[in-house]
Amino acid sequence: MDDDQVLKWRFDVSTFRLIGRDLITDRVTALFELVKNCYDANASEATIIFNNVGLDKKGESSIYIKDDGIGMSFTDIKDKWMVIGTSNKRSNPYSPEPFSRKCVGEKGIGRFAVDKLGDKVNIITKQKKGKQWLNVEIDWEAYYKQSFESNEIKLFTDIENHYEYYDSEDINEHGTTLKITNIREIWLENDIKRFIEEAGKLVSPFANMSYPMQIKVIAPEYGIETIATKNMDDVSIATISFSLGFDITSQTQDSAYFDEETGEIKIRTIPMKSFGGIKMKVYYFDEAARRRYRKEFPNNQIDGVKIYRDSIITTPFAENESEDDKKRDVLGIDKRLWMNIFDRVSTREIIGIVEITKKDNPMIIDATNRQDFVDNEQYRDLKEFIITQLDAIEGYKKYSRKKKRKENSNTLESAGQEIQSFISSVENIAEQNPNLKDSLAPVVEQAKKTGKAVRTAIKEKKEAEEEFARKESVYMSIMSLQEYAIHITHAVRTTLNKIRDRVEYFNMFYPDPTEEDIFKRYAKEMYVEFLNVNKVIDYMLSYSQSNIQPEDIELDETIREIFVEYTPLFNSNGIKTDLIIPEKIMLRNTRRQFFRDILQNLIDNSIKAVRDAEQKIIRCTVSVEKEELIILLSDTGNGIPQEKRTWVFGVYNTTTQDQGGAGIGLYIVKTRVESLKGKVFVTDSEFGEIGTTIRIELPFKK
Amino acid sequence: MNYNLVFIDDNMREGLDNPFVRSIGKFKEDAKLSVFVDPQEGLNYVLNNLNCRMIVFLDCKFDGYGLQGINVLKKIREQTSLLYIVMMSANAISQIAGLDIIEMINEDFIWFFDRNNGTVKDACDLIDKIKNLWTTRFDCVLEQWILRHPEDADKYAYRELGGKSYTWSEMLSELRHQSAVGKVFEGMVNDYYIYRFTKLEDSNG
Repeated sequence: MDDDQVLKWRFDVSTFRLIGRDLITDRVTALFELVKNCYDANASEATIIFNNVGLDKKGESSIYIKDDGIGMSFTDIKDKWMVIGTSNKRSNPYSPEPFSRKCVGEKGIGRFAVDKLGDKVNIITKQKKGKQWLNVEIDWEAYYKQSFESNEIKLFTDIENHYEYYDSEDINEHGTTLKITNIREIWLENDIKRFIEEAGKLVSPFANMSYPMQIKVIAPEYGIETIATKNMDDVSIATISFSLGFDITSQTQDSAYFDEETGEIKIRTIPMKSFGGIKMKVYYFDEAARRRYRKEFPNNQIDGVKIYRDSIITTPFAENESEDDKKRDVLGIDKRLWMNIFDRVSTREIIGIVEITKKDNPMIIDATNRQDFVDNEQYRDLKEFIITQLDAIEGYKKYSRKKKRKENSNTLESAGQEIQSFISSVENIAEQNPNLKDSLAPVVEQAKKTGKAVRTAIKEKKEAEEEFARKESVYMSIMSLQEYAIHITHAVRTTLNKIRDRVEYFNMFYPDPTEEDIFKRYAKEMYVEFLNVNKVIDYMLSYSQSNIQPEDIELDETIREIFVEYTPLFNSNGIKTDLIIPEKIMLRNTRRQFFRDILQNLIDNSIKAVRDAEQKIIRCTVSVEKEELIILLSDTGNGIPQEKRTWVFGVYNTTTQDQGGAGIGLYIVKTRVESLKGKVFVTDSEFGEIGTTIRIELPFKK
Repeated sequence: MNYNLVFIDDNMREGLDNPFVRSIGKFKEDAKLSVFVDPQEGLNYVLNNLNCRMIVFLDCKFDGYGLQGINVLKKIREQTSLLYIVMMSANAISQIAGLDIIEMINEDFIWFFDRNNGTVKDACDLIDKIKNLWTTRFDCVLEQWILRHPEDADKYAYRELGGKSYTWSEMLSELRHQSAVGKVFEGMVNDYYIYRFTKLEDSNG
């Protein structure tokens, strides 16, 4: 090939714009990108001024992004700003000392951001000690027009941009101002507020910021002049909050849980997770706190958990939806809401700050579309960890709701009692002073009426509470039934198909003396399958019998019965059982079905858990300690990680999804145990390092 | 025409005595039957026997196993796109996750058998349909040729430029595995015959 015969790549002006539009889809993001550049340039203050950007323009529209950062030299502009695809920031990930900020605008798309906002930009910049300001003008519309009018391809690299210098009054001044004019899209008050909200989240208030940057936003036409950046005090009006840290040397991570004994959120340490150590701070706002927050920060919403990498927000990123239900929920917090509307926390109730770093969490990687992280095992673990932390708040929510309900009825009841004692005191006085009797009579009458009203109120309240509890229980059971129906129909169908296959075989090949054994075998199997269908249907029907009348039961007998029923399943799975009930246990006035549900669900779980275990043992121990009945159900299966010991009792939470676990079993166990006024939790395995032990404690009087 | 019928279904614990399998076996006497309850074992068997003609009946849902039908399908497709797979389900199609359905539809040579309403006869009809397709497929034609002319099996069919040589029976295995050389060879043979017929037509005309 001849060396002098070469072809070169060229691209025209419109290509540049097309690339830019693909990179940045939203103008708030575009502006946010430019503010990030201010941060990277060591600015202490960035001021964003919107002029005539609304519908009702009264003059030239412009947006100024003005910072007091280090500014750019002519060479910087020529060799960096004007070079598309420069990777300057990637090789120097930190801004100059002493700020040494972790650079944010790593992807070098600031130039495209300018184009997204307006057709013309002036870059006015000066470095410290420089004598003159440099003003470069870039007018895309003009170039575009030129190329259109000349009717020939105008190459991007041929475009000439004009610049000029003017003298500076103060040699120590420095910084960069981007003056963007011919603003392309209209900015309504809400757009600017959205920008303010996003800008406020640019840098975590949770970070130790030696060199903070303040972002000031001015929009005279909307009367906006505000500081967008937040500090820690801004979020101190929360109802409760907790902080988690980690320890690199011991490879441990803090994890939160709710302690029902004390009614507090507590922290425990767990082995460090796959994604590395993270810091996390969570603020929960109850209804009153939310009202206070709205009043204090009308521009801000309580909007869930944000992840910051090296102090810079990463997700859910600056692009967002104004409509709540379209708002991105990358962590899946709100997706869980429908599962239990009463106790789940939503993104509207919490502010969470998760601090990750490139150093400690290298496997949490930004996705190229800038909307989420790359979906890998570590990110999935991180999401799961965050959700597990929220369970602590859910525990608190539930606890407070119950407590409040109790306090309310106590207040009413004591008011009732006070009125009663007031009446008897007045009647006493009347008895001792008969001359006062007539004049006190109307007072007594009035007090009696009030007392009656209070008693009615107490009664009504109780009824309303019962009604609420009933509705709540119906609601919960409908939701579980939905999932249940799918599993049950699959089970019934599979069994019916087994019967159908055998009937079909008979139909096609009977009689055949050579196959007599097969026919006999199929007949037996059909009978067994029929029993199976019956069992599944009984189980389904047990739901409708939950309200059966209380009765006296011999618990030891009930448990033995259940184990006997399971014997074929234990045998076919090679499971050994160990049933330890040292004495006869008579329970008065209780519900047999509840105990059946509890034991059956626990045994079902254990069968799944021991499937791959070397030694398959399921052990049930029943004992009486003081005034408590203790039931322990243990297995030699794959165990439940420490941090999931509370979580597994939530509806749809399962560690055995791969084995077909639907996350309903332990939820039923918990609700059943609680309705028997007991407690259930996962405790250290009786088998030591392997397996799981579930401990149930029920009130018991001999 | 001998071929393998492989059933992978966690509900077929009776193995070859499963009535569905047994019934099919009675109607399809030229088929070698295998049954696997564990999807991983079934997958291993299929992948180790890719050079045989095979139809795989694969259940969609495996209770208590890590691998599900759709995963087995994907793992097979990583190795070959030629294998015929009949997905079976006891669930209504509407209960199968939308994404799984899309993945199934987007695969070649895939069929669906409704375990609730499909009879043994329906399954046999499906097998016949698939067998009819075999008569025209290049790998199947080659297999038939080698069966009729065993003396050709070890003759060289193709030599890579400065690389390995392949006999006809080796090439059959490459085709079934859909290896790079297998695909190139199939394309070349097709091109060659189109060329030949065109030229023949020209010279006749």
